[in-house]
Amino acid sequence: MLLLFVSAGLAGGLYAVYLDGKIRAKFEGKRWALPARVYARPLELYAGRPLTAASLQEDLDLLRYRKVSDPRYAGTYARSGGRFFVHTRAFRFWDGPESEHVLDIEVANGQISVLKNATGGGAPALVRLDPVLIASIYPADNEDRVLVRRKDLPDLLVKTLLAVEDRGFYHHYGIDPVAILRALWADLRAGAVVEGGSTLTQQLVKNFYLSQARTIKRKLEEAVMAILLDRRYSKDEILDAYANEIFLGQDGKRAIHGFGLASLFYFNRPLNELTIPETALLVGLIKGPSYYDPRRHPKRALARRNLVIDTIEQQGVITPEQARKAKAAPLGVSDKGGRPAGSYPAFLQLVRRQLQRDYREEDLRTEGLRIFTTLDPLVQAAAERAVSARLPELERARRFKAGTLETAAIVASPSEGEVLAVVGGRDPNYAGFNRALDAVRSIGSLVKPAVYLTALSMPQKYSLVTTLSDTPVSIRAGNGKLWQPENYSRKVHGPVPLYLALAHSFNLATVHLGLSLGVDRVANTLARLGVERPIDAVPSLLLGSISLTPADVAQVYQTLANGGFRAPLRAIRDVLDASGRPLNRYPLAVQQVADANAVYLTTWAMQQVVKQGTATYLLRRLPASLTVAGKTGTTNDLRDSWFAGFSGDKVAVVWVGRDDNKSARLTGASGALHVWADIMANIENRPLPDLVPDGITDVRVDPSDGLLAAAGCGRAVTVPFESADVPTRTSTCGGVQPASPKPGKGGPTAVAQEKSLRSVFGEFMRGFLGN
Amino acid sequence: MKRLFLIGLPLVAMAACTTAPRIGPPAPIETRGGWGPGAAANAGGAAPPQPQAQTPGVQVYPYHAPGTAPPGASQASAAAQAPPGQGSLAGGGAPGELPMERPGNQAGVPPLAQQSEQTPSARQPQTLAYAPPPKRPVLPPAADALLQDAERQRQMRDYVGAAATLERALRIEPQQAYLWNRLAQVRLQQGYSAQAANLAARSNSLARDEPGLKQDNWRIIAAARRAAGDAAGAAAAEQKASGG
Repeated sequence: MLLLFVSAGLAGGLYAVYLDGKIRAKFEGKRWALPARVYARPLELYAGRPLTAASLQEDLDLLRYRKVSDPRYAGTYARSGGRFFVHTRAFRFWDGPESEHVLDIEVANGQISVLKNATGGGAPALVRLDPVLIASIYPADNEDRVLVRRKDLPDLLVKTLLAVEDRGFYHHYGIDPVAILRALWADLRAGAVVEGGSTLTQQLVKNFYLSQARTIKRKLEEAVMAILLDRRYSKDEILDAYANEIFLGQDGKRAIHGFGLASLFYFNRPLNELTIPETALLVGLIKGPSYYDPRRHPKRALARRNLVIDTIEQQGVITPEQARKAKAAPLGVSDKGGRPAGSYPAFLQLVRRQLQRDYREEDLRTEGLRIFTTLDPLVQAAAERAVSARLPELERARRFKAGTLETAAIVASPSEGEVLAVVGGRDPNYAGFNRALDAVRSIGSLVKPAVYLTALSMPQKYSLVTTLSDTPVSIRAGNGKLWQPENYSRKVHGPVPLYLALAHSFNLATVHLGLSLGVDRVANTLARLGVERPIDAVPSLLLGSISLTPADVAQVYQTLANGGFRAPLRAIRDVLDASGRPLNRYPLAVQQVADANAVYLTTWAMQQVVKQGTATYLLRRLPASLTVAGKTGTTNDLRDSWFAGFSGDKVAVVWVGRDDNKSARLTGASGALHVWADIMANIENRPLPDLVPDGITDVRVDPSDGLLAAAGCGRAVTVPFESADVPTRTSTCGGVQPASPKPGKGGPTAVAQEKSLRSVFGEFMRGFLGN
Repeated sequence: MKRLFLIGLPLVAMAACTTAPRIGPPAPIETRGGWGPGAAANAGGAAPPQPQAQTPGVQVYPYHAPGTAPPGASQASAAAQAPPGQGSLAGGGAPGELPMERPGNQAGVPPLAQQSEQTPSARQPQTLAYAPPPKRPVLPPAADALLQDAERQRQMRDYVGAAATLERALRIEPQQAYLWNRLAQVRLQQGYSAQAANLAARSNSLARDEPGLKQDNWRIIAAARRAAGDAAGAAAAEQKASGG
């Protein structure tokens, strides 16, 4: 008998050692696979920031701040017209924590006019709102959770949890015989299972280590392990694990684990913002997340919640008055909770590409990385709205069947190269072919700024008013065929000043210019501006035979918009690890690839595209204060409609066309330009900076000959020049008097030449104005 | 069955005593690579970190909720160099030599003394690198607050932090030549001289009637050219830096 006892004890002891190892392996090892969270940029608030009340409201909505009369808790706000009282949430960024603020914000005339602490004290210089969660990258088992620490568990939640599930938690040894007896007694009296005697520790063991089978053996094992767990770890460690492990709901394939996520999932708010009835509901759900699912079975859930409220009232956790109020409250469950705000498949594809270069897929799914992207949800929303409103309109106008046209758009910040928005097609929620990143299309006249920049980089040879020859061209191409490009209007304009040739997108003048520069040189400029695909340096390159994606084009125009300083487009700013510590940063880097003054002159000409060229539509569409520069692009048979351009702080590229590469019946100006305008008109924009760089001088000249204009010259225009290469002779301005006796280049022969040029130019102007 | 349980229970309890209780927090589990201040320190000896094609280490600290750094973190971290902060959408090369950055006071910072050992001609830029900042312009309060933060970080040799703060300021005031100049200075002190020169050139392209600022930018460009072995270019830049 004794022998039996000893051997049984020995076996039991060995078994316990085995179980102990099992417990430690799980408890101290990597406990959970944590999904990566992807965030949008945080909204920066500071006095003078361009922002409309509607935009601020939109951001608060995306962040799911609750509108209340008194914003006492983080995540709430009050609003009256342009005045907002916002109680911000604390958040941990790369550079440290941003603490909770109660802000008094006044928005007027398109900007934040007042930013104060509502609680008194000085006005903060700037405050970041928490960033909008735009995606989660889930582990393979689709378990989703938001880790919470023991010390971040609200007191009310802990008290409610213990009152309902395990009153003796802080006193028992992992199992609670008193509770088992009490449960047994209650069950016997009721004649059914109404109460369980399992401690939190047992429940945790069950979830963590054991199968769901209900056998005596399993129950025993559970008890032993609960005791071991309790012996080895502190109560708080166990509570922490429990609070993160407990299963609290199902959202399609996604399993909702832990209170942290459940709070977001059911109420759209972090745990520390929950009220008494909300807390009671969460705790009540533990008994049966699907049976008491408040969305599918609200009545059951309500009854269960009120039972919990009664229990905590009896236990003295809350006062009877609080209980009465709590029971009167509605369930307050929101829809779509805890899911990322909106869906941004096109932008996220870009993020994934950047991540996949630097991280393993497995790490993305399990390490709980926090990825801070450059997405501006307000810009993205404006771009999506523009696309979905404008495309059907274009189709109707061109008598296309609905759904014929496709589109892509990308918006970035010129100075930093941060991608703010990506639209991959006419259905922004479709996660398939991403035209912004992958549709490689002929860019047509979008190439021309590179041609003109190449010329303007040689200021001693070319200025904005250098006369170009818009006359027929015929070149034998490499394949032996004759290449005879034409202007879009099929007209020939003769001599034209350089800037007008770009503004009106004259093909023949551009080809002449490009050929005299050398196609190789233009190809080189393109590569420097940011084209990373192979460039075929053939004459047709000058008219945009090269095929690029909208994103490639955005890189080129970013460089132009940034004064000739290329900043590689980026979609990610930084990455934190699961515990909120900085991991990696993608720093801002710039490289000067073009002369700043030449870029300034090119940009000036691209402004003329808007002021008097192919994109004058923008004058009517955009506010007068918003100066922009850009270029239309149209390809053969109207297959591709492009517009690329920039304001002072946004660069945007839009493409409209068809996936089957048939004619879209749209020019750049009649298609993409409209979408582009819709986007730019609905986002915050600064005008192009009006400063004239050092080394540039504005000069009044006669555009017909590029010489200085006399005081009375009616057709004179003011054009920027490289200061060192300002013309020195004065034009006759169509008159017959000889040039002023200012010393300078050229002599009598030059004057004769000017005359003939002038007459041709006059013809051109008449011809042009007539069409 | 019940008897067995009753007998087993004390034995189990005894058995539990046989294994020593855990001391201190659990050890971190490394997947691969590493991270932490130690990683940065390793980079200190060499010139700017060499780009490597490997993926950066992601280390897992189990059982540590957000914000708490496990004590074992620093010794557990091995040096892991970031791959270059490569371009953009097409994955091409970034301009300059900036790698992906990691935090820490001296992440990827070659001490200037060692830099001058490697390039004898770097003695001059070393003194230049510590030139007092040019006169601070009047900036809007938001950008100014960030600028002051960044300057503090830079003086504490937290260059990665200073750069991040300056980038935040530049998002607010992208046309402010002074901010670009300060970022250039940070990169220069980190040893990323080519990138410093590009940033200084950007600052120059935006500067108006600010001779002091422009001279400081030329000083940075001169230091960068000297570090790249371009003595003539450096001399030309230095002449502009001294107002010539």
